[in-house]
Amino acid sequence: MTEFLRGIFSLTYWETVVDIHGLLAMTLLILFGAALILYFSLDKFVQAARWLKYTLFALVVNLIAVDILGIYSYGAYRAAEGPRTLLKASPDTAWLHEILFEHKEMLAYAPWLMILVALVIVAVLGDQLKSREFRMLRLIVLFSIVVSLAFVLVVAGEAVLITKVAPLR
Amino acid sequence: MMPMQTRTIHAMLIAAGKSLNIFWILNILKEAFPAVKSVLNFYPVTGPLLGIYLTSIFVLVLAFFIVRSMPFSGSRAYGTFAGWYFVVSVLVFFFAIFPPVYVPIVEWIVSI
Repeated sequence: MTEFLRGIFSLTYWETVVDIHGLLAMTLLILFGAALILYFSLDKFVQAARWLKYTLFALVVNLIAVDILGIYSYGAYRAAEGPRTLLKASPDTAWLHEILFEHKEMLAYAPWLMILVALVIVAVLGDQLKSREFRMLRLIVLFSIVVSLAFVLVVAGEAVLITKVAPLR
Repeated sequence: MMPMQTRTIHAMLIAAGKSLNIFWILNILKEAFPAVKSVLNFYPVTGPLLGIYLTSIFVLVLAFFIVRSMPFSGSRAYGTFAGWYFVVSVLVFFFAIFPPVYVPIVEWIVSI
């Protein structure tokens, strides 16, 4: 236990920041799972639309928090002695920054916005979402959740590849 | 559904699409024109990325209120257009910000 505590308290500031960033990103997976279950339960129980709204709200807040922490730690990544410099120094690793990181940092803009769209639709329509009249909007909610999840997984995959080679310390 | 509710949803779909489109367009412009990059790079610690994020959020808010105030935005036909506009914008966004896709576009613009 002493060794564990010593290890935890010896983490640097940036290691702690990026760990929290990663922790929040993991929480997204639970919320995405809950959102999908609630979406497919819209016809199954009365409160499903309301709970879907709450879950989407939590997702938007979580995604925005992940983005804010990401942009904050991006400053340290770009610093003169930071991981970006290390990656760009070798032709073997330069692609990790020039292709993967460039894509990751920009792709992260879409998920929160897509979930915000889904949230607005669910919040405005409420139980009417079950109606056949709003089938297209219902499909847009599903599209937003599924594609947003796919984008988050792509960003996470790219992050793993980059941090394996050049972690932020 | 009330007309204002319909307009809110349609405005959100259009605004989100516009925000995503302005994001990738700004990214190409900043790579092609140093002056654009310089404007977006108002906070050098994070570079032009923060400028692109904030501009796209500004476009989101502006487009939402403009579209929501338009009476025609409540129509069914406009709703269908807004839905497809959003879906296509998301798919275009994914590829338009991928360096192997946008770098040749930047090189072509610079070569003109």
